[in-house]
Amino acid sequence: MAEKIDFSTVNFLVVDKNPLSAELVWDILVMLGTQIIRIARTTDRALQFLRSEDIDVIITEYLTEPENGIEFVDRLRNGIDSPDRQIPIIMLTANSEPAIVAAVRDAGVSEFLTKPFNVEGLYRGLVSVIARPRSYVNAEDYFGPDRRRRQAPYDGPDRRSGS
Amino acid sequence: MARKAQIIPPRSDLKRKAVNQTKGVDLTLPPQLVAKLEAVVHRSRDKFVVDITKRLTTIRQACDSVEQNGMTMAEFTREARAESLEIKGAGGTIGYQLISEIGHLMEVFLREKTALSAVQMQVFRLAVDAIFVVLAQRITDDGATLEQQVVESLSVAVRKYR
Repeated sequence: MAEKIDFSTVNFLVVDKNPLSAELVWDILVMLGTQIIRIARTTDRALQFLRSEDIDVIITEYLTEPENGIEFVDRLRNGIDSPDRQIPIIMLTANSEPAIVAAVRDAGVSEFLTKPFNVEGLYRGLVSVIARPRSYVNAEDYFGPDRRRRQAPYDGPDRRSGS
Repeated sequence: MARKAQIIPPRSDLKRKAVNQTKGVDLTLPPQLVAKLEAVVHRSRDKFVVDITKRLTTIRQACDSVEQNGMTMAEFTREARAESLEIKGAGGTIGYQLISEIGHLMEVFLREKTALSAVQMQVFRLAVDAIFVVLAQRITDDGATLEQQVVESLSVAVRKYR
């Protein structure tokens, strides 16, 4: 039997200073069956929600205040006061500058989606973090989801041993 | 010596509580639900059009203000780029792909800039005017050949004068 996602059990936090964008994401999540959605206009408010409520998935803009998306993700992944270092974070933003995309990925974002977006693209991102969670990597200079998407078969001389 | 990276297995709590085989939405969206979700997006179109129009007006006012020395160039480029990003993000989402394309050109034009010359300001204003036309004519999706030619011309201007 095919797998399904029961969105009524998943609590979302949407971080976006643009109320219309946040409202649109809200409407889509409600249509999918979500019951608990919190909206934060600032990263400070987002952190309050994360500390006081049971949030499962964050959908955030990059253009946030007072911290930008990189700082916000970095605080969640590496901050000593992080409420949950492994919480899935989907970044949904119009800022697709290559340097920003790379920096956000290196800060530990789970999925990066660009605006304009379509509902199927957003849904794929949701499926990815809920139904296909990735391993996390804890290294000296990185904590976050494994950035390798595809396990390419390789039997060359420099193949790493272990898992 | 560098610390060896530790691999932490995927956390299963969220998957365990949300994924099942009886209740909820299939992992591949069924076409009828796609249609319902697109209708949700479509319903918000009018609100987004009003919002984009307000942002364009803000940009036009900022252009006037900076030309009359009421606003610094650095403030102008920062504000206009932020508004361009919002316009780029909103346009295609609600079916106005042309708006996203022009918004993207505007954003790229301003990227890493703290000042515009008079010619650059003219090019930027042309892009703003083009979006106003798209909205006024309600040109959705990618537009027709003429609209694509306008975008291509703007793209050339952006590359030339950036």
